[in-house]
Amino acid sequence: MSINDENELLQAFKIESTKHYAFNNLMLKYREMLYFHIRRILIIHEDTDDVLQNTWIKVWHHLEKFRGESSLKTWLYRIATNESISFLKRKKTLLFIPILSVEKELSKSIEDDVYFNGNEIEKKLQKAILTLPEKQRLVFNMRYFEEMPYEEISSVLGTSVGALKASYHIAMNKIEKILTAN
Amino acid sequence: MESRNQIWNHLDELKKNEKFSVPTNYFEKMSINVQEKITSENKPEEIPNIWTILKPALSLTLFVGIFALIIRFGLLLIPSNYSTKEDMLIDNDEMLYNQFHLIDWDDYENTSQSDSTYQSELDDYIIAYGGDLDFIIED
Repeated sequence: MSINDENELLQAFKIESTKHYAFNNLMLKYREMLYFHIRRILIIHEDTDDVLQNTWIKVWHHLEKFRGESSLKTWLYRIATNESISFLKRKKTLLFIPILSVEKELSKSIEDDVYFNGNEIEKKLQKAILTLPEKQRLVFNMRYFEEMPYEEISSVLGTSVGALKASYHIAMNKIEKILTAN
Repeated sequence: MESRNQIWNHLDELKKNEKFSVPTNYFEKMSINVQEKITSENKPEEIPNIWTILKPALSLTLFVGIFALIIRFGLLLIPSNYSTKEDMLIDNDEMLYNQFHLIDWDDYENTSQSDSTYQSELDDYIIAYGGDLDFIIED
């Protein structure tokens, strides 16, 4: 069984004796990609770890129902994105943090994060991204860092390609303004 | 415009390397954790037998029962002067009779009208014990 052949992995997942093996291969293929996608949303490693594990457990429970209407990668991204957004909302509610302050907190944590190896301009870029509204932030991360085609982003976020292009353009302008102002 | 392009060109160069990092062997450990969670979820739940379900309820019933028995028979063990219930009732009647008849009626008659406290106490007593006030007055 090839790790790159998604169809084979999906078929193997449906058989009880090869289920765990197929799932392990699936994790091996996508775990880093999903980790960094979640990490760009949540910034903090520990939060990312929690959400990533929950994402994989959801995948385990629902993979049999996956109908292949979108690509497996898009489907995984959609689960990871939804889990990350739900986590942020829970964090805002549970910790009674005002909505705008969560991003400020995350911005601060970039400074102290031992698992962030960027220089000053990269820190500024991350902080600038955190000032964007949620949707623009997601679009910018997926387009700029992960270089996903608009069609794929559209499938993950359920937004039209036109709207995504507009969001990305606005996000770029805002970030530029922040970076040039500094 | 030039500075704008410079910024993005610079950032494009930088983004080639992932700036977020993870602890050593993180991905291997994460995969193991996920597998462990899934395995523990898949373990069949132990079906509790009937004794496990009924045990707390039976214990409570037994405790309440024993407590009730202690109260019931414990009271019987308290020493009593009466051998039967009838004896106790007769004794009570005698006591009432004595209380009523030991009143010194001479004192009652000699009591001046101004001694209202004594009179009212006596009236209260007679009413309380079912005495006929008219009969006493006539008498």
